[in-house]
Amino acid sequence: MQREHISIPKLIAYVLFSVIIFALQTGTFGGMRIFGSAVDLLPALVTAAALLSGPAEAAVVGLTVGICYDLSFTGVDGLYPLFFLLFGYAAGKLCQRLLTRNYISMLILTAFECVLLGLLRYLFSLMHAGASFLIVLRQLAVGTVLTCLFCFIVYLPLRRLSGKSRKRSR
Amino acid sequence: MRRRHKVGSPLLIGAAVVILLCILSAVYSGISGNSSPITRAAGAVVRPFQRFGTGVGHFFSKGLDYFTEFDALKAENEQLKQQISDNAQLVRDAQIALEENNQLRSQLGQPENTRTTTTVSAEVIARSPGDWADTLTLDKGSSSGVNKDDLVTTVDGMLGFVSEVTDNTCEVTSITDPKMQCGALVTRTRETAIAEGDYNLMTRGALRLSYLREDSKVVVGDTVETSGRGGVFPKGILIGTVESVQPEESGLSYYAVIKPFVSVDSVSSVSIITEYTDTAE
Repeated sequence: MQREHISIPKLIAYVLFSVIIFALQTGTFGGMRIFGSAVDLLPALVTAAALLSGPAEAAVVGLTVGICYDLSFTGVDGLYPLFFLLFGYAAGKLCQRLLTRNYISMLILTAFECVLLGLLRYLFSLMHAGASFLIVLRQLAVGTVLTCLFCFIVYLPLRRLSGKSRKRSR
Repeated sequence: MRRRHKVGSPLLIGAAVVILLCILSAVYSGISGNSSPITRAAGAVVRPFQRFGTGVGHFFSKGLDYFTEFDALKAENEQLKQQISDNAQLVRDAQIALEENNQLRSQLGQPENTRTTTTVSAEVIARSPGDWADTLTLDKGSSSGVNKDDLVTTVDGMLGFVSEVTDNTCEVTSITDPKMQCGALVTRTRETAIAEGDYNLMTRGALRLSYLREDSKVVVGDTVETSGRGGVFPKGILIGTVESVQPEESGLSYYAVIKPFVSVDSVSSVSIITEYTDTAE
């Protein structure tokens, strides 16, 4: 019987990487749009951490990503951190039991997360504000495709970060 | 060998504390309408990364522009010189009209038609992620005299208003964000209405002009500016042009779709109007 240890240096590296991706996405490439939609890689960070490390690391990355969303004044504070923390933990548990650690699983999980986030956003916010479901659906579809298309940008570095830690612990 | 993953009780307690903090943040933010202390503290850590990232991006794009945009800039420069020369007489005529207007106002015992504004220049250091909010972060805050609800403009017109301020940065709700609302005036017809963001129009970079009367004479191409009603924003700041006029769902009034003068996605340098006095009526 082995007990999985949470590596603090790896956690710190994940959090720093998340902050860097957020800074690049909102700063350097903030004005970039493809087919009228912005490329949002923050959800992919959570699924990558869940797939490559585990539920605890994914929960911490999820909390970081959620706080990054709150920094942009996108709504009521605290809800995004809560969603991504819980999703990260649940995704991490799911990955341990069901999914294999490969890029296909990364794409499936990222797409599921984007769709879930979009639907929750619509149900709790956009619908009450009068947003058309068709427009929301279009943006959701385009946004999900773009996030899946570009998620390798976060997957490959995180795979390297998690791989390095494994090598050091041997 | 099967690997078991034990979650220790400290980790569970930590997770419970974090979840509780998230809920408290949500309650605080929902009631006060401001960012929670946790978000503000996180902002103090993250903003330097955003400034650095934007600075690096600007450095490389300016360097690239030096080689790719030189001819276009030169042609635009010549065109603008010609326009300035053509407009010089117009400016002289306008100055004479303004002086005559003030003389007449003085004879009638009215105050002079004057406006003074104090502005602070700022740079955009970050934008909101995703598609359902359109906010920008600027590199000036309360230490530079910026306050909540200050109007933010560019040379083209209104960009938005300051919705959140910290010591050294501020958040701007842009003109196309659904949280944006301001009194507006159609320049040609002098009709007043409300310019507001709309989720259905935000994705194509437009906003709506609501509460137009049934007998409204607004047409495509009309210019819309801030009305100054309510005293929150100065009047006469350009917002955009009318793209189309549509009936509301109720059929009792109309709304117009406005294409803003300012391109929110590409703006990088702005002016924040921190103070203004306007005796014009």
